Amino acid sequence: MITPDIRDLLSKAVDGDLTVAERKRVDQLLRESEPAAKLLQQLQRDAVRMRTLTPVVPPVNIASRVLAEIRDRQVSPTPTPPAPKSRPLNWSQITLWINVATAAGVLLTIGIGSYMYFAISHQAPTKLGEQQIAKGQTRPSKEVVNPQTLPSKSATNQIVEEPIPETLVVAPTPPTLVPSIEQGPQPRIHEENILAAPSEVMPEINAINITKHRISRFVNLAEVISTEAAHAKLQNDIKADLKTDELIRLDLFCRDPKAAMELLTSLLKSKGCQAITDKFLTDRLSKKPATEIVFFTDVMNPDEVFQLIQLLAKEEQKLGSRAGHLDTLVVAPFLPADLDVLGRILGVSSAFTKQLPKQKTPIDIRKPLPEGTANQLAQNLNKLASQSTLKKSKLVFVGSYSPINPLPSQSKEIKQYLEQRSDKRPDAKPLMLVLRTVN
Amino acid sequence: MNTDDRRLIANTLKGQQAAFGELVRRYQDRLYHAIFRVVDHPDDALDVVQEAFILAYQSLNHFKGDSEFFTWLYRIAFNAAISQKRRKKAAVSLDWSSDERSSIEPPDDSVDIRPGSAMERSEDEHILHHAIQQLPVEYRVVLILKELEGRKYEEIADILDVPIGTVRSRLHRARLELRNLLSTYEE
Repeated sequence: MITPDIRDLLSKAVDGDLTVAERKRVDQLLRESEPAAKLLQQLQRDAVRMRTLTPVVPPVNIASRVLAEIRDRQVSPTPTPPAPKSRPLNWSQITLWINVATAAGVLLTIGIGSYMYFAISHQAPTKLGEQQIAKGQTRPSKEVVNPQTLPSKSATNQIVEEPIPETLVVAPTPPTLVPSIEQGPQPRIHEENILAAPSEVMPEINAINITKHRISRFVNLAEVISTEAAHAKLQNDIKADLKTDELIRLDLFCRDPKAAMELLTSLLKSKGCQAITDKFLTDRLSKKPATEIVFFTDVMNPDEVFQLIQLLAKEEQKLGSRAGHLDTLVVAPFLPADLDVLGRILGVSSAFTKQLPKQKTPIDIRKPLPEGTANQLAQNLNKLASQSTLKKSKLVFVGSYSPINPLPSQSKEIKQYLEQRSDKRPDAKPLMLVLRTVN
Repeated sequence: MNTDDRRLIANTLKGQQAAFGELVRRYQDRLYHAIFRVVDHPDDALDVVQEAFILAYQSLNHFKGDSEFFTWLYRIAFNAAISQKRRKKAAVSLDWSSDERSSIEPPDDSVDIRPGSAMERSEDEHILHHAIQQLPVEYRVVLILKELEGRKYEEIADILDVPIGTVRSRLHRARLELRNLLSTYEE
């Protein structure tokens, strides 16, 4: 099988633009692989064919027409802009600017120094104050006794024999010296009550009203098949969501999109739908680069889509932790941007935008697509394959969502899908299901 | 740069329009042939080539002479052709049934609708030309410059003002896409 890498290598070989290692690889390929040798031969032949294409001569003498146009339009070569004059250096100006720069530098230094001084002094007022207090404060010493308590020596000369009662008098501490702390600027008077309740200062934010605003619904697959009463409402809500929009958009997050794709394909087959997979996607998956996969079909009604989701959930439950392919399902509103993407994927942008019903009223975000979109879309798609006589079947197209196939018109699978898809049933809705990877 | 071209450019800048006429005559056929393969319509190719020469005349003072005159002219012409192709693609209806389907069905060669062709072209050439037209314009331009004009990668990169790596990558993609398209006809 010729992989894209081999194809690239062979294309380089046509130009001889190969490194030594690549040359060896090509030689080996040519010996071992007949398809590779054939492809190289074809590419070389195509190059020769291009070089030998018959030259196409202009029907008229271009030179005379060009000269006539130049005269008529009075065109002339644009003059080149003059080179900027080099001026001699103005030393007096240079000196002036040097002086200005010096003065600015000095002022800046003074400013930074002042800022740092005040910042440091404000940073440790307690420490500084404590030190000063410690210095100024006189600790009451037990040894200090208020002289008033001691009997003073009387003027008399009588000798008092009674012992002088010793009483422990706690001398009042002398007033502490309050250090002079630099006073900072007065605090700004704030009129508003900053401790007010948030509701008094914050703008009011209205809660999202789910009935008015349609948002994506994140669903745990297990809940879709749960028989608990709590999950019954969820299941009904999902069914309602699927019926709301003209088209159904589902995103299914999974760890292995390829495995999820295979599972989904087999489940669709069990429901009588045949999957047609774009070769661009198949090639990408064989190389295992990160790919998101899209399933598109319009053969199922919303109830059948819900049953498909339930089947997926049951399979996931059966496989248990062994597979763990599927993660969260997102039921999202189908937006006009999704229509554009789908059109590009199938290479039929016009079918997805041409003659679709217009919004009569301003866009309702609960229903972004106008009524009748699904039916008109089906008609547009039918027109594309109106001349096909192939048998119609219930088909599902499987393609690459990211990246999109750059050449959808060259895809035989897309062509086959468009030509063989069956007519849309009245109750069916187009479904776009994207398999996304969980990081 | 070629001495003759240098002389003609110098004379043009002196006011001799006839010198510019000589330059145009030298390169008109070759440029038209290449541009025709990009835009696929004789009238469009004529317009693009004519306009490219007029722009070149206007900008002659800015041509530094560090590349060949023809390379510089090609740059002007191919940019104009690519812009025109993109403008036309945006304006034309994208009805798949009339436009893209023709890439798959065999072309109708009962009437040669290209009045500019000097000789009757074989069906093989017709198919090749049709396949080239199906390529994205960026791929088509690189393929034409490489295979039709025989330009080197560096020259193509200079003309299109893209890195050489981009030129290589586009060329390889273009060849493979062309092969895919041609194999459809060959089946």
